[in-house]
Amino acid sequence: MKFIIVITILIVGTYQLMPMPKQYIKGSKSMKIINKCGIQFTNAQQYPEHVIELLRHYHQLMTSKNQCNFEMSLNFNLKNQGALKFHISLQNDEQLYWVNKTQQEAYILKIDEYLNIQIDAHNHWGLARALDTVHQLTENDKIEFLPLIIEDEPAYTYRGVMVDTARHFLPLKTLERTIDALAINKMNVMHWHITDDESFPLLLTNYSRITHTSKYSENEYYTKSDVSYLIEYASIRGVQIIPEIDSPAHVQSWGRNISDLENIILNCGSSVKQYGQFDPTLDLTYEVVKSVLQDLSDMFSKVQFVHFGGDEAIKSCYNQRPSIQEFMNKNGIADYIELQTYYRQRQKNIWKNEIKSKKRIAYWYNKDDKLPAEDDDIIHWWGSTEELELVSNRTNDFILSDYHPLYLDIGVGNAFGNPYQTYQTWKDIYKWTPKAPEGFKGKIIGGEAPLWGETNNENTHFQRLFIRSSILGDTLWNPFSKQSEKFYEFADRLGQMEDRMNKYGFPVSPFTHDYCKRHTKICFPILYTEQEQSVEQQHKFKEL
Amino acid sequence: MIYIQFLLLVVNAIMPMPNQIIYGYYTVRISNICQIKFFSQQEFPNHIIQLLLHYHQLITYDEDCDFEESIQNINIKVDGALKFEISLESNEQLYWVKTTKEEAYELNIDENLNVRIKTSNHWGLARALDTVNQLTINNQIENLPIYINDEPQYIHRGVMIDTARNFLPVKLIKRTIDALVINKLNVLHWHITDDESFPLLLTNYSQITNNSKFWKDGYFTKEDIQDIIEYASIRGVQIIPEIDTPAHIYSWGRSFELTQIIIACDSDIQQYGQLDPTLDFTYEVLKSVMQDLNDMFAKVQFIHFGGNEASISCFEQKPSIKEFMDQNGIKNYFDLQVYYIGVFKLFNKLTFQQITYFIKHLFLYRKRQKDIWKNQIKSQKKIIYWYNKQHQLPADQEDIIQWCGQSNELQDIKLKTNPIILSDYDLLSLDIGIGDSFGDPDDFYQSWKDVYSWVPKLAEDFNGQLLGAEALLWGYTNTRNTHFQKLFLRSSILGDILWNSNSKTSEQFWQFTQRLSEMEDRMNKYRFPVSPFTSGYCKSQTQVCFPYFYIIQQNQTGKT
Repeated sequence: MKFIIVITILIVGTYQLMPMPKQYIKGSKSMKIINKCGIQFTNAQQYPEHVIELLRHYHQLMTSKNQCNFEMSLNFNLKNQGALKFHISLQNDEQLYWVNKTQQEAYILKIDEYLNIQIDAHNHWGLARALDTVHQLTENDKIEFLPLIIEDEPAYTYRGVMVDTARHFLPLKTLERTIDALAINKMNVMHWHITDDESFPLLLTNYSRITHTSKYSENEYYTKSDVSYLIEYASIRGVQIIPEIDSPAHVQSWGRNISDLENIILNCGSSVKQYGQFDPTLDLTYEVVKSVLQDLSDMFSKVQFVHFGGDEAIKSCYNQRPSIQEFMNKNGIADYIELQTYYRQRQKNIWKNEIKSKKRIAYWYNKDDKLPAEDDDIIHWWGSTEELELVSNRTNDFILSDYHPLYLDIGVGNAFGNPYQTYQTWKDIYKWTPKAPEGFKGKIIGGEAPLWGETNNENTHFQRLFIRSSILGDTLWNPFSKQSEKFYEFADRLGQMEDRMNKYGFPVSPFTHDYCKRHTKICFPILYTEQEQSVEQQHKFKEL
Repeated sequence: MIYIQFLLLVVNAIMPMPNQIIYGYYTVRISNICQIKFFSQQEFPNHIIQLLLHYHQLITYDEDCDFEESIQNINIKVDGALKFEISLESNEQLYWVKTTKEEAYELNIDENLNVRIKTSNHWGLARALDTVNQLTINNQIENLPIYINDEPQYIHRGVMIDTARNFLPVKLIKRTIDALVINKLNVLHWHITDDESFPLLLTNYSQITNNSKFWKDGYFTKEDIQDIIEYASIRGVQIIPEIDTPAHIYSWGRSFELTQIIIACDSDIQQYGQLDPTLDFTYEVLKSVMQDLNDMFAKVQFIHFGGNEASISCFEQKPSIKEFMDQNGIKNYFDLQVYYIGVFKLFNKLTFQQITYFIKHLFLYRKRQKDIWKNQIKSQKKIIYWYNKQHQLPADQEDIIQWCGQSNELQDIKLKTNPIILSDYDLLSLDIGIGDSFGDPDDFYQSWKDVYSWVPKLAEDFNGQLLGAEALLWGYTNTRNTHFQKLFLRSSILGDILWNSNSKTSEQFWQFTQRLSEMEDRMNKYRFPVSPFTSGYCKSQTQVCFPYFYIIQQNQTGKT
């Protein structure tokens, strides 16, 4: 005989979800989930495979402490008291590899006092977000404030992080786990900076020697089936993969120690020749580029768009080869900006007209990148928000990756152990919101926190990514929640996210010590303004 | 362009570098890795068996070898197997060593894989075994025959960990000891308690522990302590426990009976506390805590009493302090701070009566604390105190000074004749640079190159006796998730310097980074999740990336 214990909450409480839902209406009852394994997904027979896999994932998370049988949850329609009963209704059963409207991730969630959970969503991406919310609500084996209705929708459609597998190889497992970590933060993009000067860990078809010559050890590269697996894995969880093959700079690995390809690379760097840039005047360059892009198009056929990098091509590097100047003179190319434009046009021509890919292209931009962009190009802005003014007239879609505070790798020294910018703390990220300047003609589709890999490997990966990316996810899903809560309430939500991520084995960096985490009201009464902060700094001096 | 990779000879890639190496040209495969034998004229006592077991596990890490059969009373010659012949001057188990000679060793490895180790005791043996482990790569030893004569430069080579801001489990502390040992580091300074929590189970005042611990089992028992001290001793690591007073003790007062001994500091965030030095009850509690400390840590060499950051602002809350300020025309905190430092500078010239009220009490506190320790508890153990520019209470002759000030301020203590441990704030703090507990900026991160460029910078007329150094990992933003990442590889570099500071001058910078790179591999092999010091490419191409030591490395591009 099982008892349902209903406790009425007298005080007015709030949910501590991260990110916070757009709106909710709540009741006053609390219900224990006494039958954890009795979890049911009604009418599961009609779900397609990718939805079943998503349910399996959240079933595992919700019953992580118990040994519950997932198949049982699908196959029996018993009325289990004290168990969660899901009734899921999707407008669209199709498997999606990306979404480009916030409505596609919207959901309506209703939970009654009998633990009936009604989820209405557009497709499995919206379902993933709804399941995450249910998962957060049920963490302590009870649900509070029943009955409840949540209507939720993200503010931005693009909410992501960037990982870099060129400076250090990251095992496939680490990438999978990264996707899992993103999903429980309702983040939906993993931008994958696959290759760089240091290595090219993607197995190519015609130029596999690029991969094999530059890989760090025998098996440290990704195959086509690894890629397909990862894209599937991400899609099921409502995460899109954006692959990046950076060129024309950051390409030394394409020709290092490969006799017939050495010529396409200009080696740059005054004392340490470890950076490479394409010679954009050689036909061979485009032959190789075409083959690599063909592989990219084939392997990543299911993704929404590709990233061509395009950053940091250095003038002085072109200078070293006189034939380049000759070529420019002959072809009426006035300067290096035009030379890069020339490269970019030929690259794009290959992509659109030879490979015939319809995928849009993202490029890195900051204030120094003056290259023209076509209308459907996506501008990945790594300058500051203030500097967006300089590109006010561009009408492109924008992804924001402000150097400060969204670069997660800076502040702990560079690849040479030398100082490299200032570390951006979780509070710096908390203070950030996407802001378009007056008269800005572009469209900000979201933000992304890049984790460059010079000093990051699997040992430090989750520590660097989180808990800071969780805050970015919070901001991009719902930038308004911060205005309607006290700072300590935010810190509470953050503390719970830290616990949650630890529970699932993600070794994230703590945002504070354990005392402050448990006494957020004492430690984080308000977000100090700059002035108050300097008082605090004085205090710190005193304490030293 | 063709890069030729210059590999170091394994004998030249040891970290830290031995004092003297003579080597030949033979490479011998260890075809019989599991047949490893340990032989001695005398029977091995248990602590040495445990040490051998530890290194047996490391040397045969990827194999599944039986240790029991490796211990031999007779010297059996097995081909293709490491055969250790160990001779120790003393079989006694030591919990610390006092001289560098006690960690010195002589190591001979011949072409038949006979490994002869001559050393003073099991601490020296631990260092010798570590060298053998480093020489044994991919089941072979190169450059045989090898003769190594080695001795550390400094006796005190360590790290400090903090279990008060975030609790660290016993298992993690033991793993930290394991990590120290493969770096030939020999001190684990354990900052046990602080404002935030007191995770050491006390006898009479267990409510201090229970009211401040972060979760049910988040504290250390007497058995845990003994376990850790034994574990460390076997591996040649000494534990230095620290109970910090009279500041950093807010956690002591979180029960009704004990609130009175605490003066809570700070107006807006009430999370720092200082002991009220004017109450007798304070000393009653202190005595009991120190009795526990003495009982639990009976086997350690030193006790650390902290003694840092006692802030005057905290005493302001006592009316008598306010009175004092009014009387002396001191208007605000900064004046008081200036006055405070000034008084210390003049300390020797002042009469006792001239010493201000609060300094008198800080001084009195320290005197009473020491009196309890020496005369009531009757402990012989020496005491370590934190010192920096602001905090320089007079030290007794036998006190040990741990310097946590800036490198360029060391001259401030040049007249002190005490033994000194260096923990320069600017180069040896492993926690700074990534924000404080409030997510606010907190100084600058010290990269591995900063630690590399550290050397003890002593004034010429420095009077103290330099014992060595410690890298400090305060726990504000450190948990088990980040512990090894923050400690290493930077502490490996400190260990390298403290063992043999001359090696850096006799090698190219890329040779150093090659050694560092191999240490990174080694620590990864043994599952210590350390921070990488550079990219995968530079790590394998040290000569390309680190041709020599740049002051500011060129080729820093904007993004990455």
